[in-house]
Amino acid sequence: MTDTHNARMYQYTAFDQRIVDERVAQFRDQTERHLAGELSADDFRVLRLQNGLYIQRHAPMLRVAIPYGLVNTKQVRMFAHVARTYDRGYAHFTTRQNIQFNWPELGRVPDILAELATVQMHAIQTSGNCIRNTTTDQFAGVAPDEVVNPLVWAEIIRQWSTIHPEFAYLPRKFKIAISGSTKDRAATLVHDIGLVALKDDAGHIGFRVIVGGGLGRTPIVGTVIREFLPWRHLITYLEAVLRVYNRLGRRDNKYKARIKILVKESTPAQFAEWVEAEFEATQNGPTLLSQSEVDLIAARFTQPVYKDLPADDAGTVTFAAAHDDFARWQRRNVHAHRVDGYAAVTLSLKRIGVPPGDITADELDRVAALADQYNQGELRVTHEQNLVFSDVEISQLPALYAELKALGMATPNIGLIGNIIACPGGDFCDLANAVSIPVAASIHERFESLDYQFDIGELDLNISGCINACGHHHVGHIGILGVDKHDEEWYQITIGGAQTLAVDGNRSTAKIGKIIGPSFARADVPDVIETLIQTYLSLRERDDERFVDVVARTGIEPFKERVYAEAN
Amino acid sequence: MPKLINRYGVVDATLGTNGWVEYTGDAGAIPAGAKVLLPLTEFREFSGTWQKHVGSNGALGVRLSPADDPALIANDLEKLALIAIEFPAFTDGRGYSTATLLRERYGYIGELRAVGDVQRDQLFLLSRAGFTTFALRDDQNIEKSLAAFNDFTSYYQHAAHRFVDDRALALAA
Repeated sequence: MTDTHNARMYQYTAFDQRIVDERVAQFRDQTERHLAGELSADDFRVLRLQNGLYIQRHAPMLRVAIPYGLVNTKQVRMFAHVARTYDRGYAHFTTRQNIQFNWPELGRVPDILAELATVQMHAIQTSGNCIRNTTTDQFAGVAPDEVVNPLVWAEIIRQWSTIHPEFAYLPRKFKIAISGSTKDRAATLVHDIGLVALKDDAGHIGFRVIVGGGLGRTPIVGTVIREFLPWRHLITYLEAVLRVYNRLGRRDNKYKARIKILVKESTPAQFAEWVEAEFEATQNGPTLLSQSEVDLIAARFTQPVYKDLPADDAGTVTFAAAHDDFARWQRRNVHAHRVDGYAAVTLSLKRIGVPPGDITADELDRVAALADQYNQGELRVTHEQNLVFSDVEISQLPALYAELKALGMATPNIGLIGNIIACPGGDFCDLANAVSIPVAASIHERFESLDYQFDIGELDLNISGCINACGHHHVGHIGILGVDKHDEEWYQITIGGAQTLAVDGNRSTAKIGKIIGPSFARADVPDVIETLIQTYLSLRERDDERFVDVVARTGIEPFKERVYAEAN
Repeated sequence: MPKLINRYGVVDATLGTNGWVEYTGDAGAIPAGAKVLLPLTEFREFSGTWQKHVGSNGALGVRLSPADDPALIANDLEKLALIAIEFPAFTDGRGYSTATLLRERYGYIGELRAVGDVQRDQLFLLSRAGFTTFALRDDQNIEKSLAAFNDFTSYYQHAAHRFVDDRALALAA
């Protein structure tokens, strides 16, 4: 097999370009028919959702796909252009590695899509009851613990799932995540299908297949139904899962329509049996992947150029010794790289006074310029709503730090309480019961001190404005969920959740957080979080015992007691 | 009235049935020698009786609801000249899997008709899933619907349409 270790971004063929262009023309025609009164609002609704277009509280919202989170600087400049020309000068990165524009005008959306198509971008299947954008590890291709680079496989899944005739009208939305490292950074255990790329003893690539995980109203950790699926069967097996789900998934109640409910109600063992029977009947058929097909797709990927560099850089070491703020940033926002002399850098989009994931057009342009200068013209969007430069020379870190600091994107809060994940919430979203962004802001302010954040250590704090859980609150070490009580906004708090609680060999475990008790008024939330943190600090046995580890050790009781004792 | 089309043109613009009569419980309403479309349960129980009734001049078809399992007619496909798959709402996608199974797994090569909430904007997908005729919802424009088969000139993935005989389709239109 071709060495795909360095694969980065897939470059369209004329074939790919034509499909995206034809999709734009199709949607333009649909929009025109709708505006002319030939296509009802109900019928159009389903079609526009499959093109990423929601009608929201204030205006339409357009969600553009960033396949597996990778973008080049030409595309980033296009985002800036779209934000300026069609929107209010800013955009929002989501927890699904996509980008959203919150104020476009319906009649101009086809023009936006046509502009995006010129830089190989689209909004196909970014919403609706279909197979959504496949997500992966933000450190794919560069992580030292990577076994298989998942990016080529993610592209194979993207192509297969794009405008798939059989699976365009599923019972509910369908999300696939793929990881190729020992530590799971793609949340494969809480997706409709999670794939973990592995190698067997002989070095052959295959996938562990997990189904039926998910967050939302019924949070469930997924079940492994195949320990090792040889890669040639990947698409056939995905089709088997999708076909069983399409035929048997519930359609009577949208809250019970996700695959996780089918897996749970039928039992994982029964579900696996159905899938295996379907696979048995279809394997080695036309969907069997061939080596040449994989090679041809892999050959379309860009590859970074690495210089032969020493593992560390003396200048950067000296600089760090003399600059505490840089050293601190390096500790939190700079990540190990599998190639000597290189590092990955997270640009924090968690800034005081700015909603998590928001970015202005000017900032997008500036980030693009920096990516051209320091990162070979590409960057990544993370599901934590930050950006990543994946291939920065270690010797360049001090210079890049200075630039990012000037941009306000060098806050050293990655992995800390300041790195809050939050959905757009009630300020923007029609579904929300409560606001998320002001809650994030109030917590952010409370924990503004970086010394305090460093003392607390690793902590994921996730906020969702409603049970749909776009803010992934169930897997936050601390999760906050907006609920509606008699038309007032209240917040329910969970603790002990984790996207990756522990790693054993190449197997990660995830955990759904537990609700600590009755919900709180918005104004009380920062105090409650403070009490949880104080409780943790008093209970931890070592500095490196994380909040989530303490909850796993002691249970939620000591936290619950303190929080509700103080509330009364 | 619905109109019946295939990807090459109009098959029946008046009644939209192309001569098929639907059995809805009154056997007396079905003349001998008719082309009759039966619900799955009726076909399974009385296919022999119906075959005699329609004789060699008539034909049998089956109408499948979204939840019907096509495996139940897998051994009877040579008796069938039509399988109609129902879409109560175009968002109910089960019929796409039913069609795929009939074409790929069970080897059905006859007419596969989409009925119900069949609109222009699903025709490309339906056609790729192996459907060959389309009983359009009343309000659909025929010309615009025929254009829909060309919404895309290519596609990424294998699908059941490759089991369809395009020349026979064109001749039928």
